[in-house]
Amino acid sequence: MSISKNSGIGVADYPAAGKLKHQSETGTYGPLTTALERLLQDKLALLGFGIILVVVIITVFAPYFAPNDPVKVDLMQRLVPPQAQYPLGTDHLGRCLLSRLLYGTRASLTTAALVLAAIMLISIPFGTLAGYCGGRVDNILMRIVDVLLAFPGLILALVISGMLGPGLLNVMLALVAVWWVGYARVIRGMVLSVKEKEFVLAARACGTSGLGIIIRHILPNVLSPVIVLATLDMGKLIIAISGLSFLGLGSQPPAPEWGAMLNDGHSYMQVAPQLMIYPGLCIMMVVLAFNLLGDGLRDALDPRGIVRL
Amino acid sequence: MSFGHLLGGAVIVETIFAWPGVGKFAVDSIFNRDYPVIQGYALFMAVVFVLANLLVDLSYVSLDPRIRLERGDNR
Repeated sequence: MSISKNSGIGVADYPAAGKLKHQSETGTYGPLTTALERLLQDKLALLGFGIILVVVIITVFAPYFAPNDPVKVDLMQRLVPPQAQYPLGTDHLGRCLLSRLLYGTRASLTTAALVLAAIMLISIPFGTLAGYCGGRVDNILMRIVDVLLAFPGLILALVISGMLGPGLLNVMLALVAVWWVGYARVIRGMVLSVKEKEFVLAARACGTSGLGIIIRHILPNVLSPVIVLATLDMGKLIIAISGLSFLGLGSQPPAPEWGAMLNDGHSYMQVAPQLMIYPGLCIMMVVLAFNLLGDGLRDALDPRGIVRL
Repeated sequence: MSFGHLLGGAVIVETIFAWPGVGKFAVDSIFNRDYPVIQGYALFMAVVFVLANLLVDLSYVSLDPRIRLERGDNR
């Protein structure tokens, strides 16, 4: 009994990649340490991480960086070219473009992060339940997912947020309602493959409860592809939020948001192209950064790479 | 599968250039609180999306003979 128990824990500990401290204490290189090393060698992923870090710092300290009040209207100074007081010029209401861009990171990034967190909270229990229980439960839960997947995502989000009425919170609700199904499907698939592995069998033989198996042994293995997917989807979410804001459904007029700024600027595309160029560049840069980091994470956390050790 | 993204992108393009398409119609009806139009739009787009996916699946069978063989073995 004691032998089987030891081996059960030993095997189970290996896939639980979350314990960097434990791994370094024993002097061996855990999967996470190796993944981190591999990530640090990936120049493009580091570049993406650097951009994200800068943007997060801007998000937190936006009031200190912004030269002007982002919502202060000054109709005498409308559409002025870049100058000392307004480094990137002003928009059609005389508001400082740079300040609005800096404050706009708050709307885009925090919204995307909150949406992603809510998606995780829904899809991880949902997918795990469907994959682990199997049978009729799996069948019922996956039919719900199939129904939602039959709609094109952005259009269903557009319709839901349109029904709820304009506002950033409603856009978030709509995106969560549409986006979680893909994750639930991926997580279910991962759980299905992991729960047949030997270490789960060993844990069950030791008398671990169903919940214990899920939390200690299955979830740590499922998490790394989900993290990769989430990082890659962060860019898509930012685009979706900007797109809905561009249509006028997201953040409401005085609040600075990149998509809404594009919407404000597009009637002045001919006379003041900078009103569309800079918000567009910001969106592109942040999305690119998340895609680079996501690609790097995917290479670093590749489960086949871990097995190769 | 990227057909869904294209459908979503069409809405934004139609709004930018003020093209009188279905997407622009849907966005306008959202701001006019015209709920039947919005529901009809969602349903229509879902039907188009599902039909496109069905076409893709069917074309797999005709383009790749191995899939037809495997399916024939199962039945």
